[in-house]
Amino acid sequence: MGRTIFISGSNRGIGWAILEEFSNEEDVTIIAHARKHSAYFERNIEQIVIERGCKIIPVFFDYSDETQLNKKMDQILSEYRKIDVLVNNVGQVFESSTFLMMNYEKLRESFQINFFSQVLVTQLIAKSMIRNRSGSIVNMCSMAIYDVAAAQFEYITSKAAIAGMTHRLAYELSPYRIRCNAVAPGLIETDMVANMKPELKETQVKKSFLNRVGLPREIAKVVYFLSSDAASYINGQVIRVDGGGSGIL
Amino acid sequence: MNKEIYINAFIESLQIDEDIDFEELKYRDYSWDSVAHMVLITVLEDVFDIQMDTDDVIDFSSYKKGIEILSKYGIII
Repeated sequence: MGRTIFISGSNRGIGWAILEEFSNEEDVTIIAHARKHSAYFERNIEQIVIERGCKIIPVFFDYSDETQLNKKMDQILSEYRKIDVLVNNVGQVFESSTFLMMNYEKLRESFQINFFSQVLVTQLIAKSMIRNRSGSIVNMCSMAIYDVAAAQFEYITSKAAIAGMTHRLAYELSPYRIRCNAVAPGLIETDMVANMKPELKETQVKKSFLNRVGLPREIAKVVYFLSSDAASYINGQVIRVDGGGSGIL
Repeated sequence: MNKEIYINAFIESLQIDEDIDFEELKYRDYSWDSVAHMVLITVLEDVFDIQMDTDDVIDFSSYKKGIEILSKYGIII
């Protein structure tokens, strides 16, 4: 029997690349989360299912709405009692501002989506993994926690919380044979980066030793590796995937 | 029937004998530590097909307390 994978924020960018990577696996079932329905997402899923013969179940709920999240996760976990891999990919970036001009409501919203709701989902799915005495959790961190010039306060601090969560969960869940790791992407060719100011983008690209923007599939391959038995002795790590250089220069 | 399932969950999760006094069993007795506690909770959720609230997971501190908590989910021991 194949693995069951839950991927949040899987409809585009890095999340979609992660879904594509897992879809190559034999007998895999992917619970593919997105915030809302879109014909584009469902069409893409249909195409992959036809091409690769995998099973993909789209699920839709908003990570900023805990009531909706709890209700939907209840339904998912009633139907899928065994979840092998959780990829906490969902994340939101707000318009940049300085700390002293930061909107406090935006900080709350950022933490709700980027951290609190992910803690909730992880708590619920971890119980499934405990029942099965195995599992792998891969969180999406960011190189911005090392290179703080690249993003704003609320994003950096919420992603730093994810890094802390990764380390602590690796420690607490190890007795149940559950590993927890994170990936910290550098600048990756996504909508988020497409909306960056050109001069900031150029500065960030030059910081990478490889002197280029990364691709979503380059992140997806590391996520897949961390979830697999090939990474069976890797635990509690935040793996930077940034072409080298972030936080050093 | 539910009582047998309930007791078996403790036996399986805490790796204890069936002839102990379950009525007096509480957290930190035998091998009932925080790790075994989560195993117990997940086994109970699985066998009774329920999802316990985090507050109830925390409050589940003894065999007797567990009976009280399970009744909230419609499980009568």
